[in-house]
Amino acid sequence: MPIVLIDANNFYVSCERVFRPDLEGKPVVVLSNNDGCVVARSAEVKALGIAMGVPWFQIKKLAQKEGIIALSSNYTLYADMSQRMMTILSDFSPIQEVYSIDECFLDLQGFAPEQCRQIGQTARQRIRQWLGLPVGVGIAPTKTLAKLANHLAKKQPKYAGVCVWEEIPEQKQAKILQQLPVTEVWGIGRQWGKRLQDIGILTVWDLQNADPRPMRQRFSILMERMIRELRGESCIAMEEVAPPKQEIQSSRSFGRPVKTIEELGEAISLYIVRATSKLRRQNSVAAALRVYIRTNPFQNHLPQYQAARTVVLSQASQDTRIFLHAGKLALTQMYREGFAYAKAGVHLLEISSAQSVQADLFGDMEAKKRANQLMATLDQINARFGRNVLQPGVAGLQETRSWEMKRGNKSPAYTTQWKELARVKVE
Amino acid sequence: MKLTMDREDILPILANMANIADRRPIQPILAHVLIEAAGQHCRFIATDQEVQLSVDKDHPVDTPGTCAVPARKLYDICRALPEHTPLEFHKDGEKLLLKAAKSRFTLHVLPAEQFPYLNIHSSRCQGDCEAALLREALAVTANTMAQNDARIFLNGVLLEVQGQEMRLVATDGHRLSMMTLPFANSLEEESFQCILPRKAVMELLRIVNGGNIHLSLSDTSFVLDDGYQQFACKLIDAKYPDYRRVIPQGHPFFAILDRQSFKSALQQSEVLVSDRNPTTQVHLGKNLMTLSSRNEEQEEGEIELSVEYQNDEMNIAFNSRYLTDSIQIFSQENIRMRIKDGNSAAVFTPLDSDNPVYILMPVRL
Repeated sequence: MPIVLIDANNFYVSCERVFRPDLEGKPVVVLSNNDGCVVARSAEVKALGIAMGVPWFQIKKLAQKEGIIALSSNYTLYADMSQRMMTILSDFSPIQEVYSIDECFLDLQGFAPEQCRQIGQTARQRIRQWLGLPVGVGIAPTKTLAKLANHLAKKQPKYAGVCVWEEIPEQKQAKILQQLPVTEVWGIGRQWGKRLQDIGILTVWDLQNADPRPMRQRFSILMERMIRELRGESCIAMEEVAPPKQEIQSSRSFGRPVKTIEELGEAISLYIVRATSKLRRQNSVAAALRVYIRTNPFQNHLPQYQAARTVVLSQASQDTRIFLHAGKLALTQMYREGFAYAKAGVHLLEISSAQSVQADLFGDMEAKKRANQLMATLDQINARFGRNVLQPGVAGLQETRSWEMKRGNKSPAYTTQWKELARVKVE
Repeated sequence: MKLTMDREDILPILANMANIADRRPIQPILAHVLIEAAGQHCRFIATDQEVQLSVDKDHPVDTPGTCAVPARKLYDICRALPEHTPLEFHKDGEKLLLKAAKSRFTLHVLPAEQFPYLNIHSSRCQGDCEAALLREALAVTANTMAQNDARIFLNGVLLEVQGQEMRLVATDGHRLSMMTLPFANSLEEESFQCILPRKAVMELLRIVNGGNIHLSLSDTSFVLDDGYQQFACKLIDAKYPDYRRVIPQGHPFFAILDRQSFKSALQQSEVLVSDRNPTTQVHLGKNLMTLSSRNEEQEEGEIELSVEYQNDEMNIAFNSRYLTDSIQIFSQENIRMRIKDGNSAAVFTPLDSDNPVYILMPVRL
């Protein structure tokens, strides 16, 4: 069964370029929250040897010299573009697994390699034409091989963005695998890469020819699956339905140091509002809340403090108010005066489906029903009139929240806000 | 101190002592068993400062004395020895020499003066009951105690004395179990309540056997004496919620289930429940119960069983693990399940009595 992996090139940068054609051909990076590290690089930046994840301040000088354009991350835009891309791709197969924000697998069961190539090319053109995003397409009998084929499609111009593994002659395949380092295999990270190196497995070819049984003993069943997948036996099934998240978190670094419990409380409340709204969107309830605060560990000349508290609820809930109360409790327990806090965050834990909720002997069913209605109304109003239109007062007003993070060079929300739509001038 | 004892006489005592003694003690002495030997009498005591067990044994002593010995090590040694080996204990300074046939062991001991006996206050209520019944009531309620709940009073079993009866109640908020037994007592007030902590309940299940039992209850401690051993524990210092408020009254419908076939049906349905939300849906129709379950992979199971049921059709869902507990609690052949609707608790009792009771809140779908 041929599997297709479609993956956008430099996804964040490509999204930005759709609305800023002037960035085409120029070196562009996208920075993480608070403009900390490089999280996406255009081909031009990769050619300069700038690695993924480097802190922005380290390369600022080089960037000035080379004319690198740095953009703050605009996750609203990327998430929306991703959704559009996945919707277009879902037309090509009834079986789709959205694997990450910028890639998905399609199952093309029943199609011959030649037909697969045509489908791959059509998909690639359609994404380019309808969305303006460049993508690479890898087609192979297994997911692991499709990942490798996708890698080839992007790296080697002769494939023109679509690589069908089964169309490559066997001898050529062997040659390719002999040249690829083993860490290019999907699922092999730095640690396993090193351990494999220690036992003389350096290339994908070496791994493909390793005896899967003893390798399973030495590593884990995942390793045996990987080897078999490289040999063309499909071992990793398509996961069509993304399982609901087991843990939801919301955390941000502050734009400036925060000292008072009031401001920390405002931040934590805001994160709780965001996290619980996510919780309700996936129709889940959570039974515990973890809150943490910390100072900036890189400013080690200042006094350092970090703390975390977990509050266990007597019953799983999705009511923002209950979590706000728990969050306040946690903060009062751990707050210490005299520190410059740099970051706070909240985690919702012990998440389960809200569809089947164990009723409580001591609980007030009616009150709970009313709370659910209140939360649903809140979500509906925010969905209709815009995020944060209606929210608990403890989270503060956007206009007065001076601690919010820096996103100095964020592009507009081109696709999700009427006010920020891209304008085209025709002369 | 010097004494000789047969392995079979001491092994069961040491097994219980090793359970009580702390495995990871905050003070070294809490991992020890205290041996007091004088005249014709030996006493063994262990405590973790929450619970305490002491066992008296009539046995001639060669030289009287006391010492505290590492409980787990002593038990492990005795367990490994051949049956009916005579054991000779001899305390020599800070060491205990243990001779057993061809084996010799030297263990460190701690001075007996350090041993932290549990404080026991004078009782407010004393009385007697049958050990077998108390054991049954503990077994019924142990299943439904909470574990590590923030509401500390739920992490144990409520003991309520009223008239010449004692009632044990436990709930984790989702279900509640309760059993009443005769308790001949001296209580002057109308009623008395105390909460036994979880660990005490588990230990009592291990050590309560047959015969008659004498209980002394105070506001802070619980003491059980069966003439051979004395078990004491601290109580949970909290007020138990008003459990009577949550016991449904006057449920209009009921089904009568055969316990064995219900058990078999539940075992079948359990295979395909979801790990994270183990839910079994119960459908009741005329003399027929249908259990259905479904897991994350959308696999499904449906099991029919004959029951006695004459009322309207009814759908109600439960956590399947809790439902399975309903069959563990009863020993009778037939169980009565009283219900009202899909949102109200179900009440399980034996067919011919209201004791014990198991109340289970449904899962709302």
